[in-house]
Amino acid sequence: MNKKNFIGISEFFIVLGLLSFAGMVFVASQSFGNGMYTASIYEEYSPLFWGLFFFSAFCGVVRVLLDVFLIRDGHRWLWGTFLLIGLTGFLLALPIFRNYAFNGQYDSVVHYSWALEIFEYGSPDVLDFYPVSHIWASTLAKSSGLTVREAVLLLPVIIYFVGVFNIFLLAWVFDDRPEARGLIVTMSVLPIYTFLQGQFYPLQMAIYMLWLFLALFLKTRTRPSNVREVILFILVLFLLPFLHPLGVFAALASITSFFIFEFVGSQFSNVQEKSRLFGAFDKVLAPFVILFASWFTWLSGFSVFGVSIKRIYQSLVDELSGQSFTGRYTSVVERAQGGLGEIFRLIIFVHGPGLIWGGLVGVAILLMIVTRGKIRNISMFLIFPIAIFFGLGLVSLVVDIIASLPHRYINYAIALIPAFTAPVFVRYFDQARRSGRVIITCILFFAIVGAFWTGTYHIYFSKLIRSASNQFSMAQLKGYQFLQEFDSKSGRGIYSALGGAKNVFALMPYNDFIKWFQDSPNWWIRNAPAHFTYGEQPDELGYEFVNPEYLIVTAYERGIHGIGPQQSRFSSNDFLMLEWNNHWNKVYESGDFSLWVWRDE
Amino acid sequence: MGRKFFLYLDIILLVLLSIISLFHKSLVLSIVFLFFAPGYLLINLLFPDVWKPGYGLRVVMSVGVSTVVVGLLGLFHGYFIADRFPILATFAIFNGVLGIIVISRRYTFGKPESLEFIKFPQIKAGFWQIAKLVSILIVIIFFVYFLWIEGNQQPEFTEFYILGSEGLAADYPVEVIVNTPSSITVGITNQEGAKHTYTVVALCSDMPVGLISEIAIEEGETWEGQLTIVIHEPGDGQRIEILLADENYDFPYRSLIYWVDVIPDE
Repeated sequence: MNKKNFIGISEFFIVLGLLSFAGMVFVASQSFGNGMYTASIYEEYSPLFWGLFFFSAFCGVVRVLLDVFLIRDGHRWLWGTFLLIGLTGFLLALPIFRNYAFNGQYDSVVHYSWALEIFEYGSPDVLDFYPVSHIWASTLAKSSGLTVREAVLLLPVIIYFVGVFNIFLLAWVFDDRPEARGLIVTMSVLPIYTFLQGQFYPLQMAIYMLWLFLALFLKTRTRPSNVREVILFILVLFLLPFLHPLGVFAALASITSFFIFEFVGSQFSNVQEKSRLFGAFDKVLAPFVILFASWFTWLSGFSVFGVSIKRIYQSLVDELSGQSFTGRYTSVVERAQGGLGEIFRLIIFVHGPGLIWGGLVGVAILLMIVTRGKIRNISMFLIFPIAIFFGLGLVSLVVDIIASLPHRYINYAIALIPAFTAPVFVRYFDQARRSGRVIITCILFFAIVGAFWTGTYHIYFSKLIRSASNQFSMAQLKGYQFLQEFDSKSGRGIYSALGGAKNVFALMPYNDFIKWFQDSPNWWIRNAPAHFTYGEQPDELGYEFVNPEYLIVTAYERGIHGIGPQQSRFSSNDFLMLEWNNHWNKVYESGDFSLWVWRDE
Repeated sequence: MGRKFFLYLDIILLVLLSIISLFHKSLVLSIVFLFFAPGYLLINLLFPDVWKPGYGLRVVMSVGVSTVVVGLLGLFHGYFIADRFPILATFAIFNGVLGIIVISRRYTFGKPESLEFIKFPQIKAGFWQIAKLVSILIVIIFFVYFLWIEGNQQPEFTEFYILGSEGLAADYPVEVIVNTPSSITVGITNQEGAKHTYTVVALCSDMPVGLISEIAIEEGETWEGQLTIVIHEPGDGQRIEILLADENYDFPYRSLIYWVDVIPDE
């Protein structure tokens, strides 16, 4: 086939992909969320919707690979990439279309509280300045007319698109070949970042800004005499600590690795110019980096980092006593209910994109070894970023083990892999024979499609990973608002079935909560005892409830029980027993949220 | 004059947009105001004379840099500016000042050699190819817009509650006298998106002990009323179920429970 035939096929696929996209959106427009809890967002849409969604993605991937490897005519691949960006953006926006109150029971709600505080009381203060996403959300709400809740729901989608712009910038700075840029951008914009990237998580926002940081860093290195780019770089540098602490570690690891491997690479290459580690430009930049590091150290004194350090310490203690590591892996086996197939499925859908991208790094290193004679210079250049990945992976493993922060740090590695491996594949493709080209194209096709597929099913909780959706529904929100409005201010406490107890105060500005608390100084919130104590003391219903006022039960707890009974602290029998417990009056019901009041004898 | 005007047009538009954003609430405007304008103006301030990076790359870079500027400026506002000074005004002043400086610098440096808008990326495609792709994109945007508008409609559910003697979620009846009417406040909030008609029925030992029928409530409205209950059998720890019926749903649509000791009439 000649190039003209490939162009025809490529055009066919993009039209087909866009038509599928249009069909998928049309199917979605036939059903809306009614504000009630659903155990899985995936089940809210028909198989036709998901069929069109994945078929559209398939067409986008085919288009990109055809343009990158066979047609190779400028930036034609942009159409396929835009399609994949559109699909990912749509996927992230599903909670908005399903009329969620918040996408998440915990972090989203707590961050909402801080953003609301800024919105209501004018400007950030020492309580709510961190992370900076609070400022983004409150400012967006102020200028757009959205409520802060809507802004919190929308911001992850907006920041995803900011990230898309940033990865374009990084790709353009990183490599001047359109094909390499195409692969870098395409592999980066997929829904591959673990830990629920659609939620209001500062971690995800820091990942998207890391690309801008690296792009400006590389730009300052390639044009060291231009101080104007340094100014932009320093601005990003000073924002990083306000995004997420792990983002700072990732940024520092990246630039430190760059300096080290640039130095090492220059010693082994034939390049005339040796390392610029202490070059003229670095004399300008170094003070800023030192200042930044000092500032971060100062910032680390804040309680938010203190809490993280305490958690790491506690995890380390648990680890030494054999609780943390073994407990976590036992829990995976329990979730899989012992079946090997189930374990395999959990691993695929929980760690799929990370494993696939890790595999691609392995392939890239193999290619560098195989072709080292031919592409010696480029291999010298690329060895440092590959090592960055392994450094990050190692740190990730260590952090995962000692700090019980699974999936977190690996996101940064996943975000960096495309930029550092894609150029290797393109370079190899240019120099390989026909069979080698076919193999590398097939590997990339299956890797990208596989990452998109597994990543899509990891964005939201579902039966696939045996976790119920932690959607915060509108009906649940109304329930909390009822409690705030009709609280008796008796000075007694609230039990919540799960950790969402703090939602009671997270749904109001902190200053208002303080006032509420002053009206009722002995007021407290606590998680309800497991099984409401029924399993342990059936004859003494509720014996462990000490001086309570309220008990909150939401559809979320029932959803968890329905999808993964072994993870649930409650059984269906517990909820039935509660209905017949004469200590509790059920006084409010919105469908997703019921409020129970302790009955004084 | 005409060409010179176009030389400053982008800056003037963004400054105007910043001012408009102070008074007019719009999601699209605010996204440009917050996630594009500050970065674009800053980059043009730093690179007034050189059209490298090219225009397309400036636009791409502007988005990320804007996000950074908004974050840092927000922090700055919190620490150094009076509490009640509007944060949006800070952004608008920032954009305005930068806009004036950029215009003056452009005036000083003269016009750039070329104004090749969107030089990047270069997509090679024929008119009809572009036309069909754009037409499909318009269809997609239409449906997404429809989803955005419809998805933000009111949810569809009903809140059902009872209140104690003080009108709060406390002090519910503990004791009632047999064969003597007692009452409790019942509330219904209709969030169903349309007018609904409800019936409230109270049961004790599966026997009806109270009823309010034909409660018509408009969308978004709350109804509160007194439910009168008469229990005919004495005994401690009797379970009163208050059920809500809505003809659009299976019965019971909602249910509440409270426990009372029914004491004999002496």
